Amino acid sequence: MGVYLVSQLLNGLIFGLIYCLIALGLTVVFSIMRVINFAHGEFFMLGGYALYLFTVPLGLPPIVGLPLSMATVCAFGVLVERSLLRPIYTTRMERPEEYAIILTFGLALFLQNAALWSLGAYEYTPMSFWEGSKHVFGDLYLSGDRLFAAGMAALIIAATLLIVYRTWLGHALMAASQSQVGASVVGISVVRMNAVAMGLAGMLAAAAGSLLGPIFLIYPDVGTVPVIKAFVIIVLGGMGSIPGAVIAAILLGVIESLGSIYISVAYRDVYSFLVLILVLVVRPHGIFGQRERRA
Amino acid sequence: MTRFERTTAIVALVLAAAVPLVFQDYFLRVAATALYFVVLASSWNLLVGYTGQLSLAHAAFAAIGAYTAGLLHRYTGLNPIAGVLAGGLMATAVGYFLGRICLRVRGPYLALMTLGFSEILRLVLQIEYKFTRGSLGLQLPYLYGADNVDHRLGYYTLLGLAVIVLVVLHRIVNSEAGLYLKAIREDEDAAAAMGVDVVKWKVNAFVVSGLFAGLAGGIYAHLFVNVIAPQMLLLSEMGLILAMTIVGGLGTLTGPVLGAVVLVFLQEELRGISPHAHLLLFSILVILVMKFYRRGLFGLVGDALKKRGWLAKTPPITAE
Repeated sequence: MGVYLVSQLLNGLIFGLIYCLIALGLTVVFSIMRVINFAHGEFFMLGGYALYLFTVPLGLPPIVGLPLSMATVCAFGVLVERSLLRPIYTTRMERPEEYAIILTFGLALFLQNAALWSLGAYEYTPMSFWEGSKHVFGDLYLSGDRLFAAGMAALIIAATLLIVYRTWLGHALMAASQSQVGASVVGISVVRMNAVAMGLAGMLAAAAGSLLGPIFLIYPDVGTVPVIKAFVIIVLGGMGSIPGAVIAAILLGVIESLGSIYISVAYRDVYSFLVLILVLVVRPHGIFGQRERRA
Repeated sequence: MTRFERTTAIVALVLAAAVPLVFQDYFLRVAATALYFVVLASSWNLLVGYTGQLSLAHAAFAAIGAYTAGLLHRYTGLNPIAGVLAGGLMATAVGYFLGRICLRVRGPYLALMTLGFSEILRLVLQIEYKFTRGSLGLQLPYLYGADNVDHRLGYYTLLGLAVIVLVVLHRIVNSEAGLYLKAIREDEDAAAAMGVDVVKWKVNAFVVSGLFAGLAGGIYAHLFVNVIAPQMLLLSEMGLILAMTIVGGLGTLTGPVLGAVVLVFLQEELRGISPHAHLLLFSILVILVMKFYRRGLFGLVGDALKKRGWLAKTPPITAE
């Protein structure tokens, strides 16, 4: 039981780190643009397919494929922002919230069905990062891919936090999230910050998709479950709060893994959604979020 | 209503009523599907297009109607027609409940909350397969007796529902209540400040749209295939309702009807290419319509007709 519990805890931590990658992008986009990107799970899917493309048909080593996949989806995120989301804040539009939700919902449907259409409902297996099972300690063994995913996710999260809290770009992002007008006054191009946020979101989602790709394989609706976890995380952590998202993600990963010992696995996702609804009803600003300020 | 509008409505009704006299089987089924989506898209439009409450749980309401009727029949042997009415009542009650708990949330929060509600329902229906038969599918009797495979009567029932729904929506939208709903859509705080009972009207919109969707789901589940599965709550089903309303024209009465009919027939045409081709096309249409012409098909057609004075002018949003 001891080893089992520890391995469940470790698994929970690994998933928490991956969830965190997905949720970070979602929360950064929300904090700056006040838009929930319903196509975020499809960014995750694109990341997985991109890693497959770079490692299997093109034969690059996966460690090269990962940054390439992140760069590809980053470019795609910027493209989506420029072509579809930019009118929300550069033009005077009726009911911009409605526009953003319907548009990203449509985009999610489009990407899923485009993948289904062009690649079929088959599962693709990108090349493994670290093959085989690794000895952790005692009787505990974990697959190399899981260990690599956790380590790489922790590294990318740390890099993201470093960028957000320690660089000019990060400060500009935070300024734009606090007040778009105020940020413009001090010379920050808010339009550019929105593009940066979407690019960052694409990059992080692609990293998550690539890291999980060799473990769970890639198929057209692979992104729906992880993005749902990410929705729960950003609501729980407070929409738009970066530290909230990190803590809530790791919490959710660990609780899920431990919970599956004691409660039914089938009901796991039901409980996630119940948490989402309960938090929205009782405390809409989450654990760490700020109360919505109305202009 | 202008003379042109009345004539068009009557012609459309006569055409719809004539379908079972001319066609059987396949085409009748397509026409029934179109009617089903006319009701779903129109009732979703009341919530989103007129009240501004973007809910992603509308497919769930149809499923509540269908499952209530199906489960009641399975466990108590209830008559299908009574089951449909019970399904409508259940959807109304759930609409009231969802409307109440959604009062505090707006915009993206509301979309997330209704999405969560719809997914919980889908997962529970799937997991509790011993009770609901899950993905195996729950078998329902035909609407008018188990052996009555003549679908014409069922089709007319659905047509009757669609007519009632459209008449009721027309009356709501052109009444004082419609004005309140539109005021909430434009600016909830301002509407509240002007004395609109925001709580009451938001919940009312949820209740009415839930009732209509529940009835449509119940009736449609008893026709033709008469098997229901949790797949009817998939987000792609919600996507269909959304696409029909958006492509037809959000916030107009004619738009969703036009969108539902056009897209259902398009879906049948595309079935030959690939079973998912329609979703690909519809999602592209949604993106294009939102980006370039938010008024949709009806905006396109309506403008030309309005110039000739054939359509009633939309009244400006002001109270007497």
